[in-house]
Amino acid sequence: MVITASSGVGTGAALALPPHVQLKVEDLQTYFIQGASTVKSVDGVSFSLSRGQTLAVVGESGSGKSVTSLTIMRLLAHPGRIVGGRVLYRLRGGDVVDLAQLPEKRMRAIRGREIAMIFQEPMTSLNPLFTVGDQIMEMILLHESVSRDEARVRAKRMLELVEIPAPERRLDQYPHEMSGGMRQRVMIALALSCNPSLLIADEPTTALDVTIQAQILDLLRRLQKEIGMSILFITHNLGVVAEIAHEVVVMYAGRVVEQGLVLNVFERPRHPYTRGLLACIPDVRRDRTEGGGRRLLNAIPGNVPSALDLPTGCAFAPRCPLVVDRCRELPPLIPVSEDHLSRCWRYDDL
Amino acid sequence: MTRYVIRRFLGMIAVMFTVVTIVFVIVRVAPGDPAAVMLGPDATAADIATLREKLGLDRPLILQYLYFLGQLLRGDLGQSIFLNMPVLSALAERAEPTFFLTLFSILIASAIALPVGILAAYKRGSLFDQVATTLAMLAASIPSFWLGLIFIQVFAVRFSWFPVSGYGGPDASFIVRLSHLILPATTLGIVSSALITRFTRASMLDVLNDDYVRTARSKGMGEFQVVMKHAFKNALIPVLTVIGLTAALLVSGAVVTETVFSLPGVGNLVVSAVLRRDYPVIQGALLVIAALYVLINFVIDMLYLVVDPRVRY
Amino acid sequence: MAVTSSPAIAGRPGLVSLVFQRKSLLIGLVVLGAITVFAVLAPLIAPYAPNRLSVVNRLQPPSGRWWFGTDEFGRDIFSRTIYAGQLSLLVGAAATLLAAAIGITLGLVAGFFRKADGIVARIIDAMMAFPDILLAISLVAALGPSLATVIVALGIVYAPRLARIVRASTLIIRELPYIEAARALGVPTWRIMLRHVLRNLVSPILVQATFIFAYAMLAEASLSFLGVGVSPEVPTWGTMIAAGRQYVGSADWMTLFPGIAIVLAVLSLQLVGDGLRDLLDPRLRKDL
Repeated sequence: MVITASSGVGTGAALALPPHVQLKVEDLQTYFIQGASTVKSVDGVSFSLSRGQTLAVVGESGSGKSVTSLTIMRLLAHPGRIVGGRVLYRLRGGDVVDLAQLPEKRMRAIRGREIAMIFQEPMTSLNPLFTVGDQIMEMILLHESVSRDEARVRAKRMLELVEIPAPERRLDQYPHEMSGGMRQRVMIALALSCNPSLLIADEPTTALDVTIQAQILDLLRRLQKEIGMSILFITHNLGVVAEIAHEVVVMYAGRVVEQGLVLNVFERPRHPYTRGLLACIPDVRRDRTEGGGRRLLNAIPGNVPSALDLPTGCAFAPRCPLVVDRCRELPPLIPVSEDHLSRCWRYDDL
Repeated sequence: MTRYVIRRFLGMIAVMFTVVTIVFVIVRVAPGDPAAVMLGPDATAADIATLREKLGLDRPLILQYLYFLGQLLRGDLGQSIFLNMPVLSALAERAEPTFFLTLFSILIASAIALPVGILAAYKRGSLFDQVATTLAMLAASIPSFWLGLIFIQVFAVRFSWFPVSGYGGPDASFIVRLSHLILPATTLGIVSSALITRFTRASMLDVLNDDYVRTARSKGMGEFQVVMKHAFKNALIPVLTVIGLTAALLVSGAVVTETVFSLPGVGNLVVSAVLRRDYPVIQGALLVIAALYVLINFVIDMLYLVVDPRVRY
Repeated sequence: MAVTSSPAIAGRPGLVSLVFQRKSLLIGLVVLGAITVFAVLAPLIAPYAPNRLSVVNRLQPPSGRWWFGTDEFGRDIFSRTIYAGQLSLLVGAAATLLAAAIGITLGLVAGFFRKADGIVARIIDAMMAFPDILLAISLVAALGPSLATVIVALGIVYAPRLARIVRASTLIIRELPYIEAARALGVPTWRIMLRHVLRNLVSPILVQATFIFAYAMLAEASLSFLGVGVSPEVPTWGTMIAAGRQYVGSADWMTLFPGIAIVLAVLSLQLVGDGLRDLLDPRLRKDL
């Protein structure tokens, strides 16, 4: 992963990305401003995602990871808004656009077609009043000028692609007639039906039980190999990150605290928060064989601070076992080795 | 699905039966002798006795009840005392204006309430929302007869755009009748739009934050389609229930509105029956209207089958 | 710092300041209070006796002498409007109290005694099938028209709404673990339950009662307008509007002012009901 400081390119100049990069987020700031109070949900986040690769954004609830994904899709609910930064995205034709600046109308053509999204709750993310087939066909008909019959054939092919048995029959079923895992497969089929270059998966396996979770991850990995889309994977579970991602960004209270290649971060976490999260992972493989008991070893004491009441300096300091006086001053993202950054003064003690 | 239909149907029958019993009780609780009340203070004892016999009031209460049930099953609602005709015919004669008044009112109410409710929810907290919410509460506070009088004052008397009252006489064309219905239907429509507006707004607020609405947006769908196709269809389910409940409100309103506009409908018939103590007519009208209400709500239960696949399961 | 300014964290605010935070509740209370004061102090405020006839001054338009004009008998409409408030408030309040008494009793009986529940629940459903005005005028017809009858009829008409709430809540509370435990131990539970049920129900009953008050006032006006309620000679807002009906287009003030009085009274009650609902239990907001 290459992290560059925000360059001084003026808005008028043509935007450019290195050829292998699909998405590059630069110093993104998303605030929720209500009256006199401002919540900085995303506060200066930068990362870049290469084509055909998977980047995981990890954090607890309230860390800003989901807001980051909604910001990229420009689906922020009121009163959230982008205050600064750029979201550079390479369109299918090769042009690069800044999603943060794009007018809503152009954004609409990108949603679903260029960037698709799957969500945490397969039980509620599909509309209960429409058949599965209708919901997939709707997406295809929105973005491509094909006949309904053709769209139906495509929808059926998508169900086959996500390994749903008896797809012809399933097309005419309603979401409530399917299990959670099956619905998440439908969501994936829906998301991939227009061949997007980027799939944003917001906690897609959290609501599923462990075996189904593993199946969905296998499916996503296989589909990525076949289709070649990039995946931005949002999760709170580092165990899942190890299974699917190439790179990882760890977020805490709206800021990136550590980022780097999964291999490096897992081998030697350079931020006490990441280390704590890693210690919490139940061994996924052992879990699967031993019946999936969930244990939280060495859980990090305390909670994510309220976004309305953040400490000055390092936000993790109140919970940190290594806290020192200097932590009252906010550390920058420090390069600790090649392609590995940490926002901790004591990265070397880890 | 069949079980759902059967259960609702049996429920409807049970409520109908209770309705019939309540109507029987209401008419029989009258203190004193209904026959004497009906005939007034000048009646002779013989007159009263004759009428008692005619009405079956001389028999034991339980027999009266069974006789009443038997009559109903044969579709006989009894004989009006003043109109010299069967109650059912009297009601049938008056049904048309009431039917159209109710129908047009519900259409007008929905035409106002659904768009306003949807937009108010979508723009929650905006000026539009505040004005709409306030107006809805105001509409719910206006007595329909007063609004009707104001409409007559303005649109019939001052501007002469519409007839002041009546239904245009027995030979009036449909257009003429329609012109007689516009003011009453608008009156009733505005008054009953209040409840539907508030419910539509609340129901839309519920669904606008649902996950599938976000999914629809993530597909790249335009806001109008997101709101109307995905959100509104889900919000419609509770709204249907309220429209059913509003039916009762409408009939209440119709009773009053028909009097204001002198429309020769069922409501008008009931009011004159009450003033003349024509018990069989009051009883018949109560029965028919309550039965209609129960029936409308049964139909709405059946509409769920069309709208909501989960019920079909 | 992720926050440029944080809302003040206050202690538990007093009821008065809570009321002041809700503008609509405040407006409702003020208007309702004003109407009540006018009605109660009518003998002091009214410039004329409500029934003082003055045929020479019949159908006078509003002026400095007759603020709201005069009616077909030359009676002062302003005086009659504020006197009418007495009766409207009385009927509304009495009908609401009666509805509460009947409704709470029925609801408790249905909730406590499984055997009674089936019948009571069905009666509640069936009662709701009658349009309120229609049921009320039928009851008035059966009982004979008088002020007391109107109150009784409206009390009966609106009782099921309260019965429904009380029944639902009782059914939930009787399944609570400690009530079940007490029952298993043979402790007479109805007293414990009654206390719990009533404590839980104070807010929803209060809110619903406010709305019933509003509906009852509207219904009373309708009955009086139809001429099936209190005697037409008694000034209520409904009878006044009914009297003005013949003069629509020539003496509009006869219908205008009593109508505005009804709207203000009902609107203020609805504002209070809404405000109370938000204040006492935000969870209730949804079921309108």
